[in-house]
Formats: sequence, structure tokens, C-alpha cells
Amino acid sequence: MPPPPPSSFSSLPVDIVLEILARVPKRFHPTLSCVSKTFRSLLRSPEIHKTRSLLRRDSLFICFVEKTDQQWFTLRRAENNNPTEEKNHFVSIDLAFPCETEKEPSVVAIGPEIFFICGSFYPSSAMWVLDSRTGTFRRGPSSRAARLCKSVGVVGSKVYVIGSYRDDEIHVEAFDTKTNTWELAPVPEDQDWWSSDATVSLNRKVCALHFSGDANCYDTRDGSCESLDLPKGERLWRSRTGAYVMNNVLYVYYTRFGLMWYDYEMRLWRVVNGLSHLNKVRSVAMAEYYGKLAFLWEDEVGVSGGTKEVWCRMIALERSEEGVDGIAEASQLLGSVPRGYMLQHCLYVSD
Amino acid sequence: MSESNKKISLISSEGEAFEVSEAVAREFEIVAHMLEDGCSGSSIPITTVDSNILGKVIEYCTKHVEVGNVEGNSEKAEKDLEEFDKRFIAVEMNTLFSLILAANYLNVKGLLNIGCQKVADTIKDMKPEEVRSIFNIENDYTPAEEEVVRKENEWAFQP
Repeated sequence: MPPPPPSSFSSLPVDIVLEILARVPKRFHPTLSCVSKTFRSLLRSPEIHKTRSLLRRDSLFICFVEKTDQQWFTLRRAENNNPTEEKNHFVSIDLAFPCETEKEPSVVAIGPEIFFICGSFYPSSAMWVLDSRTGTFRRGPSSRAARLCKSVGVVGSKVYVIGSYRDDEIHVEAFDTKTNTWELAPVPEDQDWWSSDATVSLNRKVCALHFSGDANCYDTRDGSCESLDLPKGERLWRSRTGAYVMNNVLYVYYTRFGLMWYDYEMRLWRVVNGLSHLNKVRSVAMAEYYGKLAFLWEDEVGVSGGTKEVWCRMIALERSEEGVDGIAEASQLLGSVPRGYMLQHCLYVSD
Repeated sequence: MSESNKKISLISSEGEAFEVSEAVAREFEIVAHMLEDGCSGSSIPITTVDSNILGKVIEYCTKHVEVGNVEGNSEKAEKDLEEFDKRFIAVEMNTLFSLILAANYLNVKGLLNIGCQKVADTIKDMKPEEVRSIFNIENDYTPAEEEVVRKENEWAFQP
């Protein structure tokens, strides 16, 4: 049988198109799904994550803090050729943040790079960039002026830093990872409350979330601001890493209600279906991992001495008529950490 | 090794013979399997790959076998090989697609990998319309469907 004329993309067999799309970094998948129906269905298929898993494209960078010391861990697929057996390795890594005077920088990831934005306690214009593939830091360009960093979020290929300057006015600067330069972003209409306990990006907005239940969202396009209410009542959530946006849906974990998602159109919080059988836990971290939500938690029960256990389960999340359905996989014990460690960052890093 | 001097002819779709060492021919997994299955003939027809592409695939495999045979100094060798791969795969799109198809058919995993990665790197930053026009992909969405899909994914568009 003669081969089809190999002159166009369309002549490639579908399994090759899948191999190609799996090699495109995950953050470009939504745009590419607009190309054609074939692209969309491949990009939404479980097979693409299986292929990416074999290529070991995704990893999580997890940071614990104890007093002022940080300890980083990675979660990665174990190297094996058996696609049905997806094992993950949780490994402590040596990341010496090169700037000693900066104790708790804001941290965000774009693709394989992790950005450490200084200025949490003292005004600063410094930024460091970690290449997750090599484990090396480089000094990034300094921002236009020193500022106290309030909230940091990623929209598209830009890192948005909401900060206060000498005159106490709130400004926003954006670091464009494509041009490697800082630029001024629109001034937020709302000048209050930009310090946050957790920051997420939703609908091209940077949202500063507070444990008190309030949230402020800054629209990166025009500087307009809106508030977003989190479920209130008592201290419902207290993990900085317990809020996460995946596929443009905001999830927050509450010990009392379980995993909830924000229905942006209806403007209300709803419980993810199908997870009511899961044990209630307190300190959690969430991040995307091969198309599923990696849900990590600490367990101090049953461990004697000075350590606690870190557990993880993968949760598949699917939009349906009824809302968002969750399918939880079996839990996996990742390892133990000293009892004093607290979850601080959980980053999705993807090549 | 006694077999290292053995030569094998690979015959392209035009009937042109390419004489290569058995080690290079074995880089084509499909050929390796034939040899293991007792196919003792010294000429193997590769009917779906033309001379131009077959020549390139052989060039790729030869280089990788050569570097694989050099002992010591592996870091430099690896860097050289990376450079070679980069130059090798910097071809125009039609040739790239032909190389991918040939690598897929002949089961040359390394070449298939760098070929697919090259296409992925090319399309990742493109707008949907650009991907369609460069790769000749038919837009099978109706305007209404496209509107919905665009809205659904708008949050991720690069500004």
C-alpha cells in the first residue's frame, strides 16, 4: 500500500499527532484545542496524559517551611516503561535560594521555570529564576523599582506583581517571560487589601485570597477589581496551599465541607461530587499533575516521634451537568517530614 | 564482534540500494526484528521510504551508532550528539513530516522523538489560525462551535 503523500500535517497518523501534542507544554493546550475538533479531542483525551506520563513531563515542587528554613521536595513519575503502573517518587531536593536576606519570597511557576519574587518583608526589586530541569538559579532582571510584594499571580506568559511602593500606592508590574522584561500594568482601581494568604489566577485576573473569607481580584487587562466571597463562618481554611486553579476553575479545600469549586457564572460555591467518602484532613496542598488534581495532606496520627506523614491521592475532575464530579484514586504514602514542617508552596511544573 | 563488519543493503522505494553496517541497520527496529526472525538476506526493501529520506535516516543512525561506540568523554559526546540532532532536524516542514513518518515506520525511536518535539516546539506559540494555515489543517468547527470553544479557552490565550 503506498503511503499517503507526506506533505501535510493531516497525513500524519493520529497516534503521531498525539505524540506531537503531548510534547507541547500543557499551558498551550487550551489555545491549540481551538485548531480543530481532532486537536480538541486529543488534547482532552486520557491518552495524552498517558503519553506525557511516559515522557515524564510533569512534576510538582513542594516546599515546607520550619521557622525560617525551607525544604523543597519534588513529586515525579518513576522511570519505568510500564504505562499501567504509574508510580510517583517524592524526593527531598537541595535548593539553596541564593538570596539570603530574603526569607520568604513569593513563588510562581511558568512551564519549567520557577520565579522567586523578593520583597515580602523589605522592599526589593530582585527576582530569581530556577530552571527546574537543571536545578540552577539565575538572577532575573530587576523590577522597575523596589516594592513590598503583596500578591503575585501568573496570567498567560506574564508574572503579575501587585505591590506597594514608597508612596504606599498600589501598583502592578508584569514580567513578560517572552521578552524577559518588566512592564507597568494598569493600576488597580481598588487600592486596599492586596496582601493575601494565597494568590490564584482566574479568568485572566489575579485573585488575592484571605483566610478571613474575602478575596480581591485584579483584572490584568484594565485594572478593574472585583471581590469574590469565599464560604464564611469560622476558620474554614487555613492552608496557604489549599486553594488552586485548574483549567480555570478555582478549588478550595475546607475541612468541614471537603473540596469545593467556585461556579463563576452562578457566583456560588459548590461541593465537588463523589468525594464525600474521603477522610477529613487539615493541612493540604493541591496542584495539577498529568491532568488530575494531586491532593496532598499531612497526617500526624499514628506517627510517633518527631515526624508526620505526607500523603497524596490523585483526583480526576470532570465538568458535568450536575457540576464538577471527582473520582479519587487510592491514597499513596509519599514519605515523612519533621513535625514542625508546614506546607508553604505546591507548584505545578511542566515542560 | 564478528557481525560488525557485515554489510546490509537497504533498498529505497525507488529501488536505490544503501549499503550500511549491520549495527546501523539494527537502529531501524523493524530491520532488527527481521534479522532476529532469521531473515538472512543481505538486502532489505524499505518500500515506503524514498531515497532522499532513507539517506537522511541512515545518516542519523550512523551518527548515533558512531557516538555510541566511542568510550569515555561521554559528556562531550552527548553534547555533540545534541548539536547534531538540532542541526539534523532543522529542515523544512514537508521533510520533517516525511522523516517522522519514516521514523515511525522503521521504528527509530530517537528520531521519532526529536521529530515530534520539533513540530511541538514550532506550534506551541502559534495562534490557532496560524497552526491551521501552516500545517494545512481543515477547520472542522462551525462558526458557532468555534465561538464556544474559543470562549471556553480564552483565559489561556496569550495576550
